[in-house]
Amino acid sequence: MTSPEGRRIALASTISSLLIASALGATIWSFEQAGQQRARAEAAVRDTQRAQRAATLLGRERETMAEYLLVRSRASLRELSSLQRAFDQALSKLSVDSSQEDQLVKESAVANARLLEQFRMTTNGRTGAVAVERLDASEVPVASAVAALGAVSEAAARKSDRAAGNARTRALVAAILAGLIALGAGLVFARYALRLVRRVTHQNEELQQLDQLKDGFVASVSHELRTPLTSIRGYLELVLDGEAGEVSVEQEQFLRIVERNADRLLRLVGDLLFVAQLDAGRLELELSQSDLAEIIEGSLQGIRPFAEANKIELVADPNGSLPISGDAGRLAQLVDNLLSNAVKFTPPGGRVRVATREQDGSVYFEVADSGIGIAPEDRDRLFERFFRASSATERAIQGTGLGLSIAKAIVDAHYGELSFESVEGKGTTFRVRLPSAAPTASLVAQEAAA
Amino acid sequence: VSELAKDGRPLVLVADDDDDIRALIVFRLERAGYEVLPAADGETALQLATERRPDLAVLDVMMPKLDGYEVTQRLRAQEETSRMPVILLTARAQEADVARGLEAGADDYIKKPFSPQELGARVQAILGRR
Repeated sequence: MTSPEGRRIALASTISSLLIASALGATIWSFEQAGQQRARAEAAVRDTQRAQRAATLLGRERETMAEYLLVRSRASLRELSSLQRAFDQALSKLSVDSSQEDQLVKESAVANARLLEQFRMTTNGRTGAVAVERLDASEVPVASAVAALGAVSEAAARKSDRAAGNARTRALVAAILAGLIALGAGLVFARYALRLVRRVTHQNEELQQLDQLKDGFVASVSHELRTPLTSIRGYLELVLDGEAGEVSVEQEQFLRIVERNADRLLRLVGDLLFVAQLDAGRLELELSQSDLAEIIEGSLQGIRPFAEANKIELVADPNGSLPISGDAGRLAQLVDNLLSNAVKFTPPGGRVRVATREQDGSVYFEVADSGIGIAPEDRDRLFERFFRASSATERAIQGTGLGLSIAKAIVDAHYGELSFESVEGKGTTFRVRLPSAAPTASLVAQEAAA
Repeated sequence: VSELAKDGRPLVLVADDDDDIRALIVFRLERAGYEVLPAADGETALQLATERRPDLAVLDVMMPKLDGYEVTQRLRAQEETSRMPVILLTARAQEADVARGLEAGADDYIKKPFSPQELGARVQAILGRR
């Protein structure tokens, strides 16, 4: 197989293989381009995730927005992936074409080889002349066989050339296509990113405006509700103090009822404002060095008349002072809520016990009652806002369903823990752990950033 | 030098835009033996404070025309009223509001709703100190 035709075929095959290889090279290059594009898109998603973390600091609405953004950039990444898949398909089609080319070259080589098997070629060493002999007794003349051989190998060479040309064109097309797809994807993504940035800016502005509106609303509701209550309670006090003349026993009894209900209304206003503040993401703590034991004592004094009226024994084990860095007003609200729940849900003749201790940088206190307990099906929802236990509604026990959700929010804001244990018909114990030292602002910021 | 003491009673300025609350404070303070100058808005309060130089001013924070913070600041800025004790009445109980009041130069603040008796005690505490 050392004939010039054979060499030509071999050469043509080599060249076409080289061209196919270069087409493959272009394919790999295109893959790399697509890969880089993907990496860029992933980097953009990482940026968005960073933006989301930053948004967490700005409040829940903004967090929701960042989530929305994340979803949007994931969608754009998915779009990019599907673009890449389409590109992959285009490339695999190209390689099928290349192998068809390959097949053609192979087929012509096999045809040539078969034809050659029927002849013997001899070269005269002296003259260099080539003699071709047909091996069997066929009628085919040697000359026409040689001509046929020439034609076949020329055809093969032409096919090879064409294949080479096609492969070159395809490689070029593949490269251009890859470039275009990469460019297109880049442009699509850039437009997306730009639109996202614009939308974030716009929505941020809107959210800020809403925030201001909400702040204004909370402030004016606070003012509007507290102003009439100030008059009601103030004048009641004057009358009860006898400033407007002597008050009969019955009058005083009725006025005390008015006072109690005004107080109830005031607490309700306070609770609703508290919830509004929580919603605005602004539970502000007025941190100071306080004594939890003192706060508990104050709450016990407040609840004692109610407990006595309902024949409930209040037991507290004084355990010395419990220094804590916290918001004294909020902590008093927390203790009030737990104590008033305990008393409300304990039938006459029962007992409410408050215990405290200090250990490992935390203060603990628990409020245990011998009350009606919490039904198992209510336990998971106990800290939900406006949730009322079935036992409360069945017995028509007053309440808004805000007390425990507020207690939980206050404990959370102090980085503490609130838990409970309950046996139906036997009683409930609420346990609170609060760190003695409140977290510093920098720690809070760190945790928010993490 | 305040002009109060024709009869030796201290003069107290009471500014609140709510008629009922203003009347409540006036009643309580008059009962406690003070002479009271009522005002229904911040501008009137500032004018009365400048003209009559009361011994103490009780100012509601949320008032029309001038709010309690602004009245306090202006009182502090005027030579003749710069040392007048001020108690702010605030319906808001946020730390930021309290800080703003004290920054403006208030001597004390009372959160609404307040007990008239407590207000009387605070007024007496400040005037007794002087």
